[in-house]
Amino acid sequence: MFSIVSALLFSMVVPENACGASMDKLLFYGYIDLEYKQTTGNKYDGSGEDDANMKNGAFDQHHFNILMEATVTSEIAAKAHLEFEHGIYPGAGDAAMVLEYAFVEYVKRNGLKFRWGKMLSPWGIYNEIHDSTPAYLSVYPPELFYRSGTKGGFALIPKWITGMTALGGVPTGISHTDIDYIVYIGNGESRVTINENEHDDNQNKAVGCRLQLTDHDEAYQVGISAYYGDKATSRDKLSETHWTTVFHADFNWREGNLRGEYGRSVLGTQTETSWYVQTSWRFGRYTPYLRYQTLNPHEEGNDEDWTIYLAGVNVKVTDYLFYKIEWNEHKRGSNNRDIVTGEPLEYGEFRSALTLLF
Amino acid sequence: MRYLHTIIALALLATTTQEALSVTFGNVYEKSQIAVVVHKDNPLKELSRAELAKIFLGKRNFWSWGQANDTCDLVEHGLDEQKTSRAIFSQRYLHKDLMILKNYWIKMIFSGKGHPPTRFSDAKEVINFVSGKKNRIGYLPVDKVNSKVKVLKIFDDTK
Repeated sequence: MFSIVSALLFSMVVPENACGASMDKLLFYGYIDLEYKQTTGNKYDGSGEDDANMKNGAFDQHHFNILMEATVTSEIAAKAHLEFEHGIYPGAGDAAMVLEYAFVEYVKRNGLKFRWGKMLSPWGIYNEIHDSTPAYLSVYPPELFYRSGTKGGFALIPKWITGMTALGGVPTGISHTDIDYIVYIGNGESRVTINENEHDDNQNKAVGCRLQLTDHDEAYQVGISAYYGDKATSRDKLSETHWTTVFHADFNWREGNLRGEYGRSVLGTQTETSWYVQTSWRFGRYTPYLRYQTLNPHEEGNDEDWTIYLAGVNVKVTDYLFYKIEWNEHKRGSNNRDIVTGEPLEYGEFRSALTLLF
Repeated sequence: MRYLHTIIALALLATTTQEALSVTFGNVYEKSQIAVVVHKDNPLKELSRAELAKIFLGKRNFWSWGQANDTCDLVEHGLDEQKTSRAIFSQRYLHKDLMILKNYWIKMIFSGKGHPPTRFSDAKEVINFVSGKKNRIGYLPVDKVNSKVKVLKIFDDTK
């Protein structure tokens, strides 16, 4: 039944003359950045790769990313984002080549689009621009919120979803506001040894949505994201229920911005919460920003929290060149599972990044 | 290397302070007139400011008769950036200053949601572009308008 519906859908949207995109309908964008990071304070003297151990300071060719958009017809486009991370070469630490997204977009009409393929899960403010450093002020997005899986917890919502989405925006008719919506279904999460973009090791598909109220001039956005799926946490536990709710709000006034997000997620018997608040004010090319973020990866546990205070400045040198410099003060609970024995619970971290957009 | 971040921070602080002091709040725009133009066969005579903004921000993809719209920007060479037609149009009709608009498009591009309008540097190019197909829309200084295109009346429905 599903295959018949898929075939019918496909036959409706694929144009008869779809035989490749000419170069004038092919757009490329990208960015490259170089970071410098150094931690200070009471440090572990080992040689670990964790940020807390980067006492020597290090340059990091973090991103070289290419985006492509091919317009096939006025209704259909193929979009892809390819990432080369940490100066990739085989077997090198965190280095990776990642297909951030690759999907087909079909615009049915105003306020209704469909996408199918691999996508950055549409939740909260940052996930769809997760690694796109030119698109936000700080060196990283709020990592305790968006990278909780590497901070002693688990991902609030998986970074990627492979499946189908429907999205758009419709006027509410009230005070010049629109509701932006996006709903999706996909494979969801699997064990780390399983490619979630190819296989699903449980029968239940993951579903999610984001609803966002925004005014016509984008002076504010408030929204809610939700995710429900089964996660295979081990070979013996292929279907642990994962349920997440995220609230976000973003306000712009003159040169200022105030934003925050709160997320609560339940995976099996473990409950995780995280939130952050960030404010900034632009002075010409310079935008100083402050952020407070916190993560409790295991509410049922004891002393597992992680908190980061951040102060930084984003300098827009030209339209294509950005410089970011910031100080992060980390405070971690002694039972946080990301901490390797002997690592400091509190440390400072200097980060800077030079980013070129092209 | 030990003091590298301190040196960078101090250098940045010095330049930041210097520039911040010279910045005045808000923007000063030249009071020149901008006309929004469409193909002569476009049946519309007027458009609300909010609808126009949605078209130029990639939030409204189709005209009422079902054809996808196609937009263009005019950024004149040799002008102070804040005096270009794009800056004036953006402030007046999109309610965004130029830097906000550029940031907006960076987010749209990297989230796969859209890309900015085709960019031209001369009003004649805008007229040639708009007059070439029925689905196209652009803007240019009023004194550059000619009979090849139709001027849309823009009314503000958000006050």
